[in-house]
Amino acid sequence: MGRNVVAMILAGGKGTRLHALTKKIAKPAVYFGGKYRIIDFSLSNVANSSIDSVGVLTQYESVVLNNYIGNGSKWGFDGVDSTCVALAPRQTETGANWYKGTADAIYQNIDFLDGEDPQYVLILSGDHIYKTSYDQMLQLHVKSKADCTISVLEVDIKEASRFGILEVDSTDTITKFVEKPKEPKSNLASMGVYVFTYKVLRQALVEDAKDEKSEHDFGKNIIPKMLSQNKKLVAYRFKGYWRDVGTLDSLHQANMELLPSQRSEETINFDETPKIYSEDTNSFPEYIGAKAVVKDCLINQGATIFGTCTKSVISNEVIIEEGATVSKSVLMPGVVIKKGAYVENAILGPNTVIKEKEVINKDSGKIVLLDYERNLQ
Amino acid sequence: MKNVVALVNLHNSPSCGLLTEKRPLASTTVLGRYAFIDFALSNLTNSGIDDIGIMIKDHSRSVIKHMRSDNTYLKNSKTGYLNYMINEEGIHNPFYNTDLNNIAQNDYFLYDQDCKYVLICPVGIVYKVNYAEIIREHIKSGKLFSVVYSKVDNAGKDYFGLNKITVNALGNVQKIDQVDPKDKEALIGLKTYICNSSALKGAFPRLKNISNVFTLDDLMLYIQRYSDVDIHAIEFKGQVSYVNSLKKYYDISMRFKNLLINENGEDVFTNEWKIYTRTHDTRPVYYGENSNVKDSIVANGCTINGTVKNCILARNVTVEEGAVVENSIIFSDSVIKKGVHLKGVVADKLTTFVNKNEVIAEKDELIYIPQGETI
Repeated sequence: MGRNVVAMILAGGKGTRLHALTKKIAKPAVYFGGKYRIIDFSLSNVANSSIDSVGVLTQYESVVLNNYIGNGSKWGFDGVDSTCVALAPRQTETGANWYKGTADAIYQNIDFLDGEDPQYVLILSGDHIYKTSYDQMLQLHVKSKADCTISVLEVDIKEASRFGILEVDSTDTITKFVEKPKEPKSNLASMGVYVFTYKVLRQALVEDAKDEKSEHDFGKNIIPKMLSQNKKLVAYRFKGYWRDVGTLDSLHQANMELLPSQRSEETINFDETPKIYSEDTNSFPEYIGAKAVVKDCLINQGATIFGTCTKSVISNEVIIEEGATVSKSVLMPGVVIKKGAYVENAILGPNTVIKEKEVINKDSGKIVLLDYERNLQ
Repeated sequence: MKNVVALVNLHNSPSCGLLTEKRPLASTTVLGRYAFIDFALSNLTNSGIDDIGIMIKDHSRSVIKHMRSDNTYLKNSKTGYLNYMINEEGIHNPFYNTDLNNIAQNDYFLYDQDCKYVLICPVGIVYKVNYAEIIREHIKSGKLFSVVYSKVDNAGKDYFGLNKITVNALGNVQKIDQVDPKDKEALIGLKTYICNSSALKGAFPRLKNISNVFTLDDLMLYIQRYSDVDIHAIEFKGQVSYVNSLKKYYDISMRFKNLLINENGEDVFTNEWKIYTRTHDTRPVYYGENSNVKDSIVANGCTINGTVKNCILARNVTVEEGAVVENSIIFSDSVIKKGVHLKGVVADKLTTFVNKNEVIAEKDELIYIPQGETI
């Protein structure tokens, strides 16, 4: 008996706009919120939707990400009949190919999907920050007897030209899809989250693979082609917090939105179940020193704070020494801020060391990134 | 170490009064993140031992709930083995519900051909030890039984309730006595025994005919006094903490807090010797704009907007704006409402402090608040 739903998470992107953060790891493996990696959100959402089979499509710098995904136990996918597998490009009888696009990544793993034999396939991006259950979207897909359901976000019409925009009729059936339109006629932006009826998806992928002119991309090729074939595509209106952290500014901003002073009904609520799951680092408990000043911060276990820390997100194994000041910054695991140093509006990559009395980005107002090799962006 | 089976002995854990009334010390929280059994199990994991039996005396739900998954402590959940040992026949009879009878009821490992040595270790005695070295010394001694001891200079004050031993020139146990409250310097037995599996197996038929051997401690005393079998004595030279009262629990917790930032990583906390525990998937700590936290340990899931000084806060504790918590240990899911002032308090799980209450202990005293109370 096949499965009802299999989730496929696209996690192969390079994330070039995150500069040194993605020099050796894929964007979905970048640290976020003091404790998490970006992909934890998608994988936790899948787990919390009672979907127990997931393939994670990795490509660029996949070693860390593949290792992190492991057998999926961090998100509970190691239970009976559960599957969590990293699917990197591989050599086949016809040769070895990189994934040429989002659709090609799924096509190259069609044997995985055939093996799972699902009724529906949920396709997600591994680099989005949001907390949801896909239950309602799946229910809508089944109820409306759609071939494909696309999760959409209502965006400011002025911003719409940055997104893939959907036009719908009065029943939210999709009538048109335009990738980054110059003059958008709708504010419904595709989130890159799709539910497909697998038989329809399979046929579309096979046809697309034979099309030499195709870029093998869901937004550019698969969706428009299905519309042209009069398939039924439906929009699912997502309500809630959702962020694409593709740039240093957006990554910094999304981290800052987690701070106590920024919390609202709009932002992610970690305290409400279901939870976002992540790796337990076996860190020692976090310690706040006798002379430390900590205000409006999110700090993970394993951190040790002796200095001043305000409006910042601090990861495990970070040390802020006495007399050092960290403000409006995101410190990834293993960062050390030596005595008397000052850091402002910065993202510090894993294991970066700021020397004694060194000043990073004071009063510039811009967000900077510094990594352990001292590359500054 | 595939030829060793380790038994974590929850039968001889001391009582800490109300703190351990409804749970064993093994699953009692420590440092906001761990339970005491984590230290014993992490010693085993870090020593390469992954065939483990947990000898449960009572309150099994609390222990099993904490343990949750084999994967927390075992390097390999297929080749490793974590087994809960309960004395099902004697669990309702305190005279019969002893560690020795627990082994007799769950003696599966004694018939395991791979099991050459049995290591029995305590929970109430916290120390960081590489058991691989201890077992090597036991094998090298050629003896059938060994006991691990520590040389201390404050036996009566800090280790009352344990046994003291004397060691002869050959390195074997010459005498076993109970620690006297007046004792100063002494060699303290750490309730840690290494037995050749065959010798332990052979002892059981003989025990049926002996009326005053109920526990492992009794067995060792009997062997030392009435048999011609030597018990080898193996010295442990690091720091040993014995938790046998609420006050000791508090003092040791605060000492551990200070050890966390000791650059020498004295004894318990070093990066090379991880302490494993189950994850609760709690978020990092929120420190609000009015938080004022000094010299404290704060576990994930907490939300702090008040003043916290010299404290240990476990998971999901909330300290509201204007609340002051000093010199206290607050267990998980507790709430300190606005205007409350706590000093010298050990508050168990799910306690709530409201109405600007002041709960302040006398100097050197502690106030314990039971689980679930609203004050």
